Amino acid sequence: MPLLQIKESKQVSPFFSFYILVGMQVAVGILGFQRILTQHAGQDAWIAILISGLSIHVLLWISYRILNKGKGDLVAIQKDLLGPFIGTVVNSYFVLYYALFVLVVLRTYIEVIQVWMFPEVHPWVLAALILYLVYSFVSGGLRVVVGISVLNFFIGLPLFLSHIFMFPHAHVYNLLPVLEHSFQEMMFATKAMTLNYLGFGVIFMIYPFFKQAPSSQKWAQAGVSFTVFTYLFTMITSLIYYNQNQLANTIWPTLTSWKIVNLSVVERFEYIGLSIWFFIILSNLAIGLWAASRTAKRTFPVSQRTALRVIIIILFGCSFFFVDRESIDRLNGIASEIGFYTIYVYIPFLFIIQAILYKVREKR
Amino acid sequence: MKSKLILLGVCLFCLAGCTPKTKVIEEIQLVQALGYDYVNDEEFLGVAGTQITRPGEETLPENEIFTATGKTSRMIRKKIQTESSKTLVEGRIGLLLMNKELAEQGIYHFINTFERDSMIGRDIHLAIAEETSLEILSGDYNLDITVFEYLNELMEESNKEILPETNLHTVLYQYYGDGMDLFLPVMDKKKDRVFVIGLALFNDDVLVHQLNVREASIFKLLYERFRGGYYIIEVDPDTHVSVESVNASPTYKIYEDHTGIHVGIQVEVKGLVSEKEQIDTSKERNIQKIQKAGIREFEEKMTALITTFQELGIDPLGIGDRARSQIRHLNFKEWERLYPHIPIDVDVTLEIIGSGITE
Repeated sequence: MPLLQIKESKQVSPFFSFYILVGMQVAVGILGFQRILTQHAGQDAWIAILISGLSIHVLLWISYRILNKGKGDLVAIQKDLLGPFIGTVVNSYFVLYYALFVLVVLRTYIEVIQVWMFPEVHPWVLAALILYLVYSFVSGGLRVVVGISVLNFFIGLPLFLSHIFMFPHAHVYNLLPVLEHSFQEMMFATKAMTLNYLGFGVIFMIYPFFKQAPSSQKWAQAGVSFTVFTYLFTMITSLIYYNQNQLANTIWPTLTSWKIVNLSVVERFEYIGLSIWFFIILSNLAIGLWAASRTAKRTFPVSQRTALRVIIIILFGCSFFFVDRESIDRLNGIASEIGFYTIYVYIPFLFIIQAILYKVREKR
Repeated sequence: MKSKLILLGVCLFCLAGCTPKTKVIEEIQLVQALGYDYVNDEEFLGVAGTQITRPGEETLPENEIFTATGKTSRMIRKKIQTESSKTLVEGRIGLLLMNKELAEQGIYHFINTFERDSMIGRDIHLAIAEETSLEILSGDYNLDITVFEYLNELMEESNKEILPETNLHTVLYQYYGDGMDLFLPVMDKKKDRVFVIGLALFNDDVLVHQLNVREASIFKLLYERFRGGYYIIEVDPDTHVSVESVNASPTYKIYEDHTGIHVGIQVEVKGLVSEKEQIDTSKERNIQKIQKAGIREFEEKMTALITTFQELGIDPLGIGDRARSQIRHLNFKEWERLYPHIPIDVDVTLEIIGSGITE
């Protein structure tokens, strides 16, 4: 039985899983997830959000079952179940998986900054600045990272209010007729929604850091519900503010909708919104990088700090590639595809393997 | 600690050359309004309206107009820049004017460049200039506010009471949406005042028809829920009553049966009769008479408007879009073919609430 004991001075309370999941799942995706969803499911896109949200609730429950039984983190469980060799291979895959997630968030956010604020700035300059900042957080350990995500949750919350400015232009009948799209179209949209929910995977690495870890599940589930609500609310306001042809052509509908915000003190609310959004991106990057470096530390004989530095340098190197819209879009597509199979195929697979193996061991 | 200092030094060194262009308020010229006028089939005239504040005096900022001709609006902006000693910045544009001749050729190019520009907001006003936008923007109106404030407030005021609301967002919404067409207010300069003289209706992005102010206010009743406005009802050939502070809300009922698609528009109008003219409004009989005459007049005018729209094949009321929400799997190709022949019934209810503070 792999047993992993973390010193209590490094642990966090179970309810922090709420902030971790919200901080991880509400990412750059929310600035522009509407486009792909409407292309598939039109006015029924909001139903796809509910369906995929529900599936994430189930997957989180499965993840907790695996973790509660395994009593360790993902690295230990995989080594135990799949043997040392395959275990190490899969573990290194997860280092890349978490790092890929960070890359997607980082690159997409930098693209937004380039298009909306500073078109003259090279992407690597922003990448260097952001990664340096995130490095200083993550090297402080999980407690700092969790603290950051709690803080940033409350900083980001007022952005909900910006939706008020869209209501005078609302066409509520845009949501009708309900369920006009076929089952297949709905499934495509549901799949497209995956990228936004991927973040919950970090729970596999953070689990041992919770005091009374199993009790953190209810907070984690609440975090997923909050995320689903956030996406749902954003989708519905976008659907009644834009028409479908507009939504299918606008790259960042949420960002573009801030253009209607009319405050007497700021002419362009997008700049304020994007800057506030940076905090939410920060918690995303910090948690993702923490998970990637932690997995690397547990898999290979390196310290977490060294692993973190190596990953950051690789990510910085990647910022020189992916320079145009098309390649960034492709990066998002690939990450979405990989993430989809990881959470919908691999996690249930792990769950089944674990159930079988534990049965066999019990009999022996 | 030492390594951190080195890193900081490296960052500063690398980033020093990468700072974005700075924009200091004293060194830029804010464009307040843009106008485009027709020159010939290939070129058009761009007008940028800015203002200059003279230092140390408590006077209104002065108008400053820059113009240039070119083939694309980007080109024109660059040309205009060469005239100005300060960098022109477009983030504060509040009004976009296009002249009628240009609108008859199509306005997509202009709204598209605006749509793409991340500096441009969505609550700016668009309007059509009856003559030229240069004339309107360079006018001297002798008011206590600047020209651009005047024009913007004029637009806002007319949006409330006379014309349906328009801004860049609604224009884009109507342009890209299926089953709806866009409309824009028309402005004209007479002596030292600017007037809103009507509503321009577009097919796709081409101006095809223009409503006068009275038709436009009837159109507003059909188009959106609002409060305000001013209508005159002819009770007898020589008796006219004015209805004010109207509270109007249209409802659309669209359904399909074996005979085809039917559209019913119900407009509820509540209004105050405040001007007591030749008719005694304290009598219930007379109120009923006004109501009856009003309903007849509104319905006649509305039906005439809708017939015009159907004949022109345009849909500024967005009936097609409303039909999409009521009829499952509506085929827009089919809808466009059917639209001119669909029976559209208008049903007005008029309620007169009061008649001022004296009998």
